[in-house]
Amino acid sequence: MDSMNEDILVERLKARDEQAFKAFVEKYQNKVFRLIMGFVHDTYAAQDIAQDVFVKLWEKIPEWKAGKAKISTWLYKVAVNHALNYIKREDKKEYVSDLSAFTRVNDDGSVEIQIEDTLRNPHDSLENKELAQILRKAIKALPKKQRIAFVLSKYQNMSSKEIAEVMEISPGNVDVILHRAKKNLQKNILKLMQ
Amino acid sequence: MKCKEVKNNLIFFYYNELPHDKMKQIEEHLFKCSSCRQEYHKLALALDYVREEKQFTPVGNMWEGVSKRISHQTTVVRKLRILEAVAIAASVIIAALLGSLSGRAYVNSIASEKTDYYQAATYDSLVNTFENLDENISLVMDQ
Repeated sequence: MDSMNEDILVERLKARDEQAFKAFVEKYQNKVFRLIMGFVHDTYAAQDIAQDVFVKLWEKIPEWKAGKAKISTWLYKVAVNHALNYIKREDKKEYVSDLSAFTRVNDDGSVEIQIEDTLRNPHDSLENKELAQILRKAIKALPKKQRIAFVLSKYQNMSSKEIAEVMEISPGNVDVILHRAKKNLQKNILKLMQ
Repeated sequence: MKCKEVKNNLIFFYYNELPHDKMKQIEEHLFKCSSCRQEYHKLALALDYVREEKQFTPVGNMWEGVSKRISHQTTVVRKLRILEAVAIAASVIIAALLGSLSGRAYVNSIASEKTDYYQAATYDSLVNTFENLDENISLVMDQ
């Protein structure tokens, strides 16, 4: 979408044009969904968060000032924040459910702890679920900036310049952060796969 | 190339982000060294999953969900606005009622004060009249 088209689209969104908004959602839905997947690795959660992101845009668009930044950059920024907030909330829930993990006493008297599978991807095999868990843990263990840069780069195929706009840092800084992110990710994955 | 250097660069090798000659050296090393190869396979398996996840698409119709949420929010906002208007109208009516009641009470209290005053004034004037009358009678009698 060039800047001219984007300006027209923003004006139509500001005028509460639902058809324009529908076109906007359809254009960006996969990109936003994929970006959120990079953080949450759960299709249902990613869909739910993506819908929240679009609703947020619809609410906030009247305050949008043209020429400030690209609307897509703002959309990705909101998506990143929503995904990170979701993870924070889930971590709190996980902590509580870990404390009251469901236990079952077997016939031989041994106690089995059953922890519910937290990742819901309908087409995933058991092996893929394990891989998703490893990847999720390895990415989550990265420092926040490294995590954001890695997801934007590898799930969204964004250039350093585009990542820099979303993260509000210089492209050079993005390259340094991405390099560290990959090194740490390799370390985390191999540690988890031992 | 030594194992340590290869292992330090496995992820960059996976993403094809090394200079051509280094890529070639690592490729040759992985062909010969089973320990590095094993490590690389593990890493590649997990990183391949990123590619797989990128193929996932939203489960249902995204626009349907978004438009439902927006119309729900609009309804809630509308209801809140109606409630707000009702609350304002109710508070205005209550204030008016209270004002009118307290006004009436004030008027009544002033009226009763005035009645007391007039009653007292009437009593005083009657006393004065009788006193004057008494004096006049005495004067007439004296004459």
